Amino acid sequence: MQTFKLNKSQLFEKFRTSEDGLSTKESHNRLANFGLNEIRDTNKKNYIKEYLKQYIHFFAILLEVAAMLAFIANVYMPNAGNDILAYAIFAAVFINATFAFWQEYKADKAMEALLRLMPIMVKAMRNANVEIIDAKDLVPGDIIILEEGDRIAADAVLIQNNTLYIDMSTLNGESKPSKRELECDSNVSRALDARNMVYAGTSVISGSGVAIVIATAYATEFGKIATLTRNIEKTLTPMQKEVIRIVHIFTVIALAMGVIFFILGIFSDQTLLVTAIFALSLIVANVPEGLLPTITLSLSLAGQRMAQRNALIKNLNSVQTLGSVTVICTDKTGTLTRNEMVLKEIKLAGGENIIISGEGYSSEGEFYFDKNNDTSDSRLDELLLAGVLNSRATIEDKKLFGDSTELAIVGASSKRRINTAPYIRIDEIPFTGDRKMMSSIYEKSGEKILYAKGAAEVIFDKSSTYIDSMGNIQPFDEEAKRRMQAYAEAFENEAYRVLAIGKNLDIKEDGLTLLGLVAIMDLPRGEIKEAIEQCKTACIRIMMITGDNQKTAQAIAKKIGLNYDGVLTGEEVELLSDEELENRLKDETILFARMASSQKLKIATALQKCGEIVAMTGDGVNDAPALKRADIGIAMGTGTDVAKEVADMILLDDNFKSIVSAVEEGRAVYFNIKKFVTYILSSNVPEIVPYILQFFFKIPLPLSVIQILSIDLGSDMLPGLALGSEKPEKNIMKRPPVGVNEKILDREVFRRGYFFIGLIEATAAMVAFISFLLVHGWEYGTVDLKDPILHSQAMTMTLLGAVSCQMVNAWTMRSWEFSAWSVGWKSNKLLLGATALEFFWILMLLGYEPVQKIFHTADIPLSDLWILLPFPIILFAGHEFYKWRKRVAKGML
Amino acid sequence: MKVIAAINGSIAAESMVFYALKYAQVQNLTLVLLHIENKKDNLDDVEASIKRITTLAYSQDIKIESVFLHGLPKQAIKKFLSSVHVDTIFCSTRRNKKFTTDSFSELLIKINLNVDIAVVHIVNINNIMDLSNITLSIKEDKLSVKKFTFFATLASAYKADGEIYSLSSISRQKLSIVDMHEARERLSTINYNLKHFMKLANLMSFNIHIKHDFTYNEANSILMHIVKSNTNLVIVGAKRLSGTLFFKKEMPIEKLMREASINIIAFYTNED
Repeated sequence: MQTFKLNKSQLFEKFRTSEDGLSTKESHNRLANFGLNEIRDTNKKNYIKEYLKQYIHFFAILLEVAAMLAFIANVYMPNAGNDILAYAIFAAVFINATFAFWQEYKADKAMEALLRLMPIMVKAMRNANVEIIDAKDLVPGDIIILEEGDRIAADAVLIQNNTLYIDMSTLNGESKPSKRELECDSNVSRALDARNMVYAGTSVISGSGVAIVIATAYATEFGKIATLTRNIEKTLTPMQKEVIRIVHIFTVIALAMGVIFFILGIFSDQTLLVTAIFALSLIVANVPEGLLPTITLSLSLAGQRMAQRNALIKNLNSVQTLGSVTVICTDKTGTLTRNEMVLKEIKLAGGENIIISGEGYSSEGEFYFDKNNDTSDSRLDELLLAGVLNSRATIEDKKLFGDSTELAIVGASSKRRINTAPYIRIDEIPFTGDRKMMSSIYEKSGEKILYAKGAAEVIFDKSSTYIDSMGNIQPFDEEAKRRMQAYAEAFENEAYRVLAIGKNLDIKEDGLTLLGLVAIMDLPRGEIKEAIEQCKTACIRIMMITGDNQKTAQAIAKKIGLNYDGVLTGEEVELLSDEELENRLKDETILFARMASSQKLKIATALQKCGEIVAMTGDGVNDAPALKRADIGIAMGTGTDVAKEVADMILLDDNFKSIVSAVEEGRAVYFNIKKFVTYILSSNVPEIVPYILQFFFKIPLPLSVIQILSIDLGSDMLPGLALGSEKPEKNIMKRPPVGVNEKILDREVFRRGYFFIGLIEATAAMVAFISFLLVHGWEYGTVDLKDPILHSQAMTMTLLGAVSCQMVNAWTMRSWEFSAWSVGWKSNKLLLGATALEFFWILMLLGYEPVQKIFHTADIPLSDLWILLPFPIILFAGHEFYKWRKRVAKGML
Repeated sequence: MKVIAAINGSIAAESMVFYALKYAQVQNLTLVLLHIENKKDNLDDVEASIKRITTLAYSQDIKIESVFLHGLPKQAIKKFLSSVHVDTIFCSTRRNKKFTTDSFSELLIKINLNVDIAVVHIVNINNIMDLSNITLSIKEDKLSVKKFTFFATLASAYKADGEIYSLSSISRQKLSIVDMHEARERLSTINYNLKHFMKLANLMSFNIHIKHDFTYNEANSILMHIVKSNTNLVIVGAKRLSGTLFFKKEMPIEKLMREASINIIAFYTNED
């Protein structure tokens, strides 16, 4: 037999305890066996170790070796700038490591938020005395004393109960206080449903009780949530995987080229030192040092844009995951709907239908009758009076107190200015889940009257009369009952919550006079249809998860235009095996009704096993495991601290529309990163080609390593960032989600970056270099120039060739598919600023001596700069033509 | 052959004996309640415990005897074991940082005994008498006959459903790019290799199924599985989880024992 079904003496026998509690010695023994009643955050990371790890991965080691080689080269070839190169590379390693660490290891405070729910001290019986003990010292068999305001430290079965109400929202999300009993229903099978139990992590709202502890620490229901919350570890996000992949690809390319040219160098007439420095230069030229910080900064900027659209991103790596989302599992209440119960329709027992206008709980609104006579208004007022008198909710100065359904009735009655002042409340028979109704007894001028409201079928059964359309009392016979049942059913089919209201002058709940029905609804949010339509075109499935019944779920889905293939209730989900659920979720859009928050985890896991990228909303403590499991956990701004800590994103306005906006930004980020990766790759070619040409042909060195770094870590950074902040392209929500197999660094990026734009830039750089030398008297075959100024000037031309092309490249790269004109020249302020700064940088390279000294540049006569002019124009026109061809091929024109 | 249950009068040890009782019942072996006298344990508690267990054993027609040993535990247990044929020793353990520290189980698994040892960690005394689901956690298809027999015996004794929870190790990075087709093939191979155990279970008429998981952290996966499934008892091959891992401060089994929400049996076969 389950423990919570045992009676008091059986419990005492099983746990070898008594009303006097345990002895100190026994409690110590049990503490040794069962351990401390604590849940510890044992998954805490050693941040120093994690940070140091950033310096020992493949990419970092590659750069560190390069820096060391540069130091060695500096010993043999001083004043060649190799020391500056070494420092610059170390700086790049440091920046990359710090950014990567900041990204990956932000403190996970979910467990801290969870543990705040546990008390520090508790009252327990020990050695027949009441003692205040450390909550950690509780053991199974302890007798605990519960009083109003106490937090409960362990799962326990009540042995004394004085109208105890507890707040169980941490465990089941239920915000209403839960009344406790001394007995539990015989059909209860789960400890969490036993009404004679109290649970760790919950708190006493009112009343008092005494209970025997049956489970502590991880064995409690709260411990189970903590276990799930803490131990679910996410797999890598698409962004993390892509960064690893990009790093691997560049490392392999850089190393391969370095090694190949080092070997070639050994067989050439170059010295070993020159060959080694050459190979090192090639490695440096191939490594896009600024790429990782640019990605992080770009994600950070996207996060800021999302925050402006009410989606606060906590985990930057998740930004791009949003672009891949294929399924959004969303709560209904507050996300799809306004979380504001509003009385919209009334059906008087006399048959009139009344529609109520006005927003929410506002006292402004009209009542539109479908038909009326002299008595209609007074009958409506009587029904609203009965409703408002029989409610505990109040609205004072726009502040709401009480149950949302009752608030709807109070709100509607305020629109009619119903006067309740003459009525004095005498008694109340409270609502219970079993009775499904509540009654209040009032007195007015010495006359007593009972008002009742509750589930329609319950009030119908208790009604013997009703008030007809002329205001006369008629027997509530079968025909009248059938008629009212039909009205109630019609309301329910429209997703209304229906209550019947009656009265009785005999102060009894039986023999009521039925006044009518009120239809209450949590209305869908205004912009919801448009957001759902956007998801449809964006090939994103929306699965609504609600605690409401199937009928309400279907009616709401219909109202908001949400298509679905089937409905599953919580009970059905429970009965399905993991495999069966996966099969259902593979292709179908399911509405989930009558769901408990704890079942969300099963849905998220099943969807992920079907290969879906899942966004899941939630707000309660018990939502935390599912939020952590989902690829994108979305907590409501009004949710619990635990949900917010565990989520990847917080919805500041709880609005579904904001999720769709975030998805749009996520997709934009994917393409923006693609754009700036292509942009950054393009400049690698004019960095590599000069070295290769210098190696094979008898020409002076066209570009120094420090100049390469000035591009990678200097002039490319800001325009790259600006590309990362481009607004979403116009077709972004008309394409399917970014697939898990769609890589940022794909063939197209290489084709455009390396083999199209890159080659144009390399040509520009080399033509500028050779032309300048030829104009100034250089002859082919002269490798060592006698005039160092001329060499510096020629190298400056190479650098300017690459940088000027990159400036134009940034502008044509703003759209991956559409023309540069279509995105508007002024729409990216950051790029305008970046271009201005780049111009300034060029001027510094051309005219400011300290900068020239560091970067080996020199003044260039204005008459020679014309050589640079054609290439940016060719690049711009070429890439625009390339994109036009792509659009033609895709039928986009 | 006899089954030994080491007791010390504590509620945890007495709870552990229920598993030994059930095991002895199905295997038709005599259960020996063993206590080695020491200063820590209260003899009255031990005798009261023996009395309660003996009453229960008689009510279920289980042969039972009790033995009190004296002297140094190591010598006493070795001497005793040399005089009787023992199938399995059951002992409970404490919830210390290392689960065997300061308990009789530590001694048992350190001295080289030619018997199987079941170290039972009692976390929850609520469902010791009624178990509906028992899980045996294994690595891929690595399941010995002894381990399966132990698991099957307990499942049969409680008429519980059995579950083999097969964990396949994979790195975190690979877990996020797991090829579903490749994974299914790997799992079907595991299923094939475990087929004869499934047949055996059918012969023994108890329901059994295999549940697979890919993981880069075995202890975490088992802990999660315990919470998500409705299993009441987990049996793990203790040696397997006792290996140290790079960058890990503790052995997976320690974490499992410390943080599980249900009772766990760490099973050491004498073949290990």
